[in-house]
Amino acid sequence: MMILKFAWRSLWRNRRRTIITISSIAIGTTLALFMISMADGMYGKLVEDAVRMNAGHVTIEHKNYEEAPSIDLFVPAVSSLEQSASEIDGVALIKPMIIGQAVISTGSGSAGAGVMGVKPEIELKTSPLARNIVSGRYIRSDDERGVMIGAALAERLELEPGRKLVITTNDVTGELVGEMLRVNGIFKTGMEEADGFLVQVPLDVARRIFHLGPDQATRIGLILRSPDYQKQVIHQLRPALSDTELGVLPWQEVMSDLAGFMAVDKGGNYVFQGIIIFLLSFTILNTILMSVLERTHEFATLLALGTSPTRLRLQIITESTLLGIVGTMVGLVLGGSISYYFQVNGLDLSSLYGEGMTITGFAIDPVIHNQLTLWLLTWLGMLVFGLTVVIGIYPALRSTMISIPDVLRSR
Amino acid sequence: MITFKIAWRNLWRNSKRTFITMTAMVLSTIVLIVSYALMLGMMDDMQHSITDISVGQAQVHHPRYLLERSIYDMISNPQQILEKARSAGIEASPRAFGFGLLSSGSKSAGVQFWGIDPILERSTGEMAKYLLKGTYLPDHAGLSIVLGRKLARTLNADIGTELVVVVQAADGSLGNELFLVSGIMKGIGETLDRSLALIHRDDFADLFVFPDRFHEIALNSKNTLTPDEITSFISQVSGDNEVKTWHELMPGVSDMLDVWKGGMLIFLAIFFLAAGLGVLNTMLMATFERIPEIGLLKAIGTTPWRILREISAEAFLLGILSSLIGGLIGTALSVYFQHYPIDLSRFAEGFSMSGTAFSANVSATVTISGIIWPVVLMWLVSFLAALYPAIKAARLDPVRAMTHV
Repeated sequence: MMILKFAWRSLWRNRRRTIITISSIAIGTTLALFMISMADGMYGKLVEDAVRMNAGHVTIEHKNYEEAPSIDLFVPAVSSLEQSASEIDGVALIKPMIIGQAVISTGSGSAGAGVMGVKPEIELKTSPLARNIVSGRYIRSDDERGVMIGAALAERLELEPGRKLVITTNDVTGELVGEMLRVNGIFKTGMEEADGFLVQVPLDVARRIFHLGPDQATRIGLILRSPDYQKQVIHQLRPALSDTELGVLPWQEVMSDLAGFMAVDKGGNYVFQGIIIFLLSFTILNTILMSVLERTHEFATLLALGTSPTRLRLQIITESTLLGIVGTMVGLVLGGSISYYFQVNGLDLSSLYGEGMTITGFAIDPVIHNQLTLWLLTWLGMLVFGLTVVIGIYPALRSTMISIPDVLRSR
Repeated sequence: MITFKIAWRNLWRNSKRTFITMTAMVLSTIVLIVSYALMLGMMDDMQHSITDISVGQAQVHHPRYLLERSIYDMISNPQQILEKARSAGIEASPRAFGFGLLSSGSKSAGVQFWGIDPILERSTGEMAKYLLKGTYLPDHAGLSIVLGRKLARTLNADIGTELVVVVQAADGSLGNELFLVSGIMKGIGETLDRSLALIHRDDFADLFVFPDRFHEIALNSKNTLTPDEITSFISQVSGDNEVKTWHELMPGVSDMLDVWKGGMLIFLAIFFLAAGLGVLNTMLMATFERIPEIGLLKAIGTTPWRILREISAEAFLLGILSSLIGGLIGTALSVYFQHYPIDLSRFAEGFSMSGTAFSANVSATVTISGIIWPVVLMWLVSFLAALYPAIKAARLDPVRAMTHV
């Protein structure tokens, strides 16, 4: 207790030195926190949008579907699965879907497309696609012949809301079937895969086209309250599906292209995170080392007066621990509030480019929102604090390795 | 001169302090130069992977072609444009496009045929490097075909599979031919993966009855010219054809790259801030610790102006020395990373997106400004950080300065 008091008092005896050291730690923490939360925000948004537009954070589908997607590998009893999935903690929304390949033809040509049967009321709650309608309106579940079509595909086939198109595909038995539908609206997400290749129809229309039963679908996507629930939800679903033909997959396996992209970019990001943490720890080392080295005279006096070396070392370690606590706290509060500000308000990158930048696709949002999590605050705080304590050890050991008479005489 | 001599001696009088300050500056300079080069490298890589596979830096089309994709909207004077490009050292690859049906057994798929000149295509783009298996088109026509990845899967086709091709030719007749799969591409973007069928331009001419006519000329100067320069240069001979840069051709990708670059610039600003503040604090502390010493100098009659001069000379020397060392090591490291990219394939194998494929390597791009900026910044920050406490000390009452802790 005594040592703690000593350390605290001696820190504030030279206030300027202490403030400089604390500010080094705090500024480093602030910048690192801001940078990491910004990068997490950029990735988080990309994944979240893709996951919500496609098959959810967790997907239930036939075991062989991922290998060779085919309409006859469907989920037989959707409603009972929906029921049991909704009881799992962390599941926010459940979207049964039917996904198939088809040829879309109009008077002016034909094109291959992916057909996606969805529940419109759920899509409106989750999917960025349903919010990015450029003309017409989004489908409703009671639209008997409604279809949403991507902007690039619509342009190629010269389609507008109200125009007719024919979907030709193979149904669940392999039979060639056709269905006439009417364009309800056109969406534009900025993603080539969606705008140029996707059409969306209400789930019941998709069931009619592919001749699936009323309780059948090819995929059930689960949207979670937060991506953190993913492992837990998969774990809880597995036993329920063990004696069926069905499997449960994380989005990383369903959208392996996106997962690959994230991994590469995250790899680059780890390099930069490493650099900033290196800079941070190095600055802390410098300031602490210097502040101890400059105090040899004081240490020599203390030792000459009979302070035991162990006690002196302990006091210095306590000092740097205190510096670490205060610096980390200040940094977390400062960095946390800055990051939180940008999490709420977003950082508009287009202002960096002035007037020159116009964003054409909706999915490409020039506004970055930081993503501040308790986990980030915890690990970064622990890391900086730990670094400060470890860094403080060397100067503490050095402090007593001095020739007392020489130092005392030198002034 | 004597000032510098004294400054130099002074620096080594407390070698520990000087050493700490120097390492701070040297390391910060190194980190800044290397991270700047790595970020530039990542941006360059992204841009190259967009332009160098198939798009090129700019393209020439008939003004209506991109809208309607009709086989009759061809470029009016391809030879003239190709010669013009060649005269300026711009690589140019002419392409003819046509739609048709490919089938193998019971499976069939609608595809876009690319009639290309394999030799010109290879020097313009790097599509030939993105083969998953098999070989690229041979230099002479021979009814070989290279397929997109997903297309091959749809057709259940492999190297050597015989494919039946049915197309509607330019003269209205039905073109019919057998092709042999010679290669399958890696993932290079959704559209191409699903619909790409590369054939030799002479095979294309026979199949579509469409000799020596083209819909697209891709231009790539391998970055000796900017896309805008290419566009204005080729426009001189393109007549009523349209010349567009890749930014105009792929606005979505171009925007995404801009957003991503914006994020990178912010990271870079944070690095500069962190390194600058680190050096600021170190230098500030080093000079503040010397206030008693400065008080002593004042007490024996040194003028405030002279004290300032001494301290600035010290900071100047220290700054020059450390930024030079840091600059040298940083440049050496960047050059190393330029030749030996950091391999991130442990995290992923690379990915493809919108007609482009990105590699899992991070390489550095060394530029003069990327070296000068960090050096100048370090030097400036350290100098100013020394000046402030020095001014303060020089104005202090000697007695108070000497007892200052």
